[in-house]
Amino acid sequence: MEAPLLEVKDVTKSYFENGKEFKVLDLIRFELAERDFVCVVGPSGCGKSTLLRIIVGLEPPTSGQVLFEGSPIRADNPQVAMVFQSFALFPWLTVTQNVELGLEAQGISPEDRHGRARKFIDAVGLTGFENAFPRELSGGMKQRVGLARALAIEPLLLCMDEPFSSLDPLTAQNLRDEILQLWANPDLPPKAVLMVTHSIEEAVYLADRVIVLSSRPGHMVAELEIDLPRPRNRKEPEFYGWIDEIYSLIV
Amino acid sequence: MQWYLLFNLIAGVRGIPEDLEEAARSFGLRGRAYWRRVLLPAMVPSLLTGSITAWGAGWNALIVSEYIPFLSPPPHVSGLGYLLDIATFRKPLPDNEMILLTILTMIVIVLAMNKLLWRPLYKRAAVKYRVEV
Repeated sequence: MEAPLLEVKDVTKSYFENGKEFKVLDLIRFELAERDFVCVVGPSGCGKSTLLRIIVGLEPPTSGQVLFEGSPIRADNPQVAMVFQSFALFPWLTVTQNVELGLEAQGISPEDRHGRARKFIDAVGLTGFENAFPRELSGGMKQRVGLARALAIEPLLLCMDEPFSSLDPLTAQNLRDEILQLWANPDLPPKAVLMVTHSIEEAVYLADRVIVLSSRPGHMVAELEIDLPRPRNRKEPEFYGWIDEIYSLIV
Repeated sequence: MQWYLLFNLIAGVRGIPEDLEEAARSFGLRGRAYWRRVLLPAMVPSLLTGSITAWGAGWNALIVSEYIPFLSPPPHVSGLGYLLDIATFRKPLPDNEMILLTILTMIVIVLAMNKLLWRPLYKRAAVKYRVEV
């Protein structure tokens, strides 16, 4: 039996203000194996972004723990990479320099960095834009840079925080299909994907498993396995059957 | 002068958006690479406004310092302030030409600095180093 890649163990998060406790997340518990594509879905304000930040190590839980490959998670773990909702690109760095950022942090030499960055800039369809600055790019292109930057460190786990919510529907759909392709390709990272979204449709389209959170405090309502074959068709009754079921669990 | 610079720099560092900080942290960027790719570029706009403010204040202080009597007899420093002082007060009659000349020189210097140094630097900083929130 394979040890799980990621273990979220009874993670609880509270904020304290004026002596009062505001519980944001309550006893979240789930696991991820190496080939999983999991979406965490829930209404706005249910704490799902906070949960993702705790999982990648940017914030500590109030209680409980997150284990990656058996050890407590650290923010700079090179096997875990994050794609941000706001893109988080450095405006004074070119596309290439942004994509190379994680590699540079790992002390990889410039020649090796360029080669690897180039590979992923091509993989996300930004060939030709290597020397462009983020201000010259559209939203969809910026997120592609964010994606390339995350993939360039060749992580086992890719974490995404509502990555497509700032994009128009067409661009978002293109990127969803690209993520699926990259994930399905055994020669390319990532091996596992954990994505947070408020779109139930997006979750059903992408994920093997959907974790449903409800709000204030965020707690797990259900963990569902979506057994639809890919590519998934939104117009099929099974598809919107799943959407209805998840929707009814949240409401 | 250095205080204007310092306070602006502190404000600049504080102004680094949270998501950029988190991105840097999550990719493990630290030490020299962090300074080079995050901290220093983020400080460029504040460095510039701090420099402009500091330069302006220094310029004022310099001219005034040439004017205010310090020791008796005052040490001799040749500068615009000194010339203006002499032209206005020391001679029996105010030397209007010299007053005009020194003031014009000050204006020309300030305008030239603005146009040739501060404006181009500011434009570049506003484009390359501005962080969109």
